[in-house]
Amino acid sequence: MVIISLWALQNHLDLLEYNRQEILSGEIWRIWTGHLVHTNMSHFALNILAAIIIYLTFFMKIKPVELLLNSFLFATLISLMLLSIYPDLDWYNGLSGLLHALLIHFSARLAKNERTIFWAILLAVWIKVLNETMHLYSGYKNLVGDMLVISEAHLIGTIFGTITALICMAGYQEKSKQKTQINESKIN
Amino acid sequence: MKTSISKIYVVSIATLFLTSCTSYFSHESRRGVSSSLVDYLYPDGQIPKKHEETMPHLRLPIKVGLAFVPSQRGGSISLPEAKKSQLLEGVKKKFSGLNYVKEIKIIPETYMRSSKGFEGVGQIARLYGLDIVALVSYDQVIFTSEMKSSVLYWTIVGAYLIKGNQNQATTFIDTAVFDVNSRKMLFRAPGVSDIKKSSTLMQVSQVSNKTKEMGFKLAMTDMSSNLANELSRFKEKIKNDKSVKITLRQGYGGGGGIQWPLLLILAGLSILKITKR
Repeated sequence: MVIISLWALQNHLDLLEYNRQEILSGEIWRIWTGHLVHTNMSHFALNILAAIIIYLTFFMKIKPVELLLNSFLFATLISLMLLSIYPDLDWYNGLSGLLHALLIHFSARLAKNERTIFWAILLAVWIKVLNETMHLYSGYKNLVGDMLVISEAHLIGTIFGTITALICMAGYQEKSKQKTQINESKIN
Repeated sequence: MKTSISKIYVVSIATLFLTSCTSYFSHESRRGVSSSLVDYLYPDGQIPKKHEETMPHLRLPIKVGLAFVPSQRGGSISLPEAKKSQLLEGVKKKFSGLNYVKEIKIIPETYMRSSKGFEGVGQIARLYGLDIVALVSYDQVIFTSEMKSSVLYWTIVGAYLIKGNQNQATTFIDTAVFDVNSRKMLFRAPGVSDIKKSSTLMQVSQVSNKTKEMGFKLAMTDMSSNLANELSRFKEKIKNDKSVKITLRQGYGGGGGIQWPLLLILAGLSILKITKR
C-alpha cells in the first residue's frame, strides 16, 4: 500500500520535490514531500528495495507511530540543513537521506539488545558515508546511472540519526536511573 | 669484341642484382610526426600581443574542449582521426566524474584545421559553448634499424623468420589548458613514452605501425596521470594565490540514492540476522 502510494506520488514530481526557490517562495510542503519522490524508476526501485530490507529485517519491532514521527523529524532536519548550508543545491529528491537517518538512529538504539548486527550496521553506514563524503570533497561526483547522488543529504541524515539516538539513549539511561532510585527508596 | 660485350653484360647484370638485394635488405629509416602548439596558436610567425593583466574567470561547473593540435609534417604517418578520438575518449573518461566539470567535448581535428590562432580556438569554443580548451600537441619519432641478426636475411627464409629489425617509437605529448576568454594558459601536463619492438623484415611496417600506436597510447596514459596531478596542484594554487576568479554558474541538483554496495551489505546483514534466529 505504502509502495503504491509512493509510486503514485511519482507523477507529481515537479510539485513535490525539494526545490530551493519554490520552498523559499512559500511551497513549504516540499520540505517533507521531497523525500518521498524520486528522479527516475531505477532511483525509486533502489530506495524502495533498501527501505523494504531495512524495515522487514531490522525495524519490525518499532511502533509505526514512532517510525512516522521520526521520519517527520528527520525529513524536516535534513531539508532545513540543505536549505541553510547548501545554497547552491537547487533541487533534491529521494528517500535515502531519510533512510540513512532512520537506519542509524534505530540501529544505535537497538544496539544494546542485539549488539553485533546493529553495531555492524552503524559501522558500515558510517564508513560508507565518510567514504562518499571524501570522494565528493576530492572533486568527484557520486552517480546512480545519470543521476547525481546528493551525498550531503546522506551525511546530514547520518549525523542527525546519531545525535538523536545518543540523546534518546541518554534519556533512557536517566529514566532507568530514576526508576532504580524510586525502587530503592520504596524498598528503604 | 663479342667476349668483352658479354663480359660487360654479365657484370652489369650482377651489379644490378646485388644492389637490388642490398636495397631489399637494408631497412633503416627514421620518420617523424609532430604538431606544435605555438605554431598553431601563432600561425605564420605571428607575434603574440602584449600581455594584458586579465584574470581568468571560471564559472563552475565548466565546459571543457579536448582536441589534438593538427600536425604540420609527417601527415602520412600521423594517427588516423578515429584513433585520436579514441585516445581523447580515454582522457575524457578519466575526468568526466569531476563535479566542477559539466561536460567534456572532443573536438574533431578537421574543425581545428579550418582555423588557427586564438581566434580559431575562440570560434570553436563559441560553437561548442566551451569555457576552457585543452590542446594536445605531440612529437613522435619512429626509428627502424637492423640488428646483427639481420645478416640472416640473406638466406631469404631469414627475412620471414628472424627478428632482425628494431622498431622504436619515442613519443612526447603535451597538454596545455587555456581559458578561452582571457587566452591565458592555466596549466600544462606532459606525457612521454619510449618503446622498442623487434620484428622480422617482412613485418617491419606492420610492427612499426603498432609501435607508433602503442607509443601514443602509453604517452597519453602518462599525460593523463600527470594531468590529474597538475589539476590538483592548480586547485590548491588558485585557493592560495587567487590568480583565477571562480564563481558558481548555477545551482545543482540530484537525488538521494542508496547505491548497490550499501544495499548488498544490508542484504548480507539481514540474511545473517535471519539465519541467527
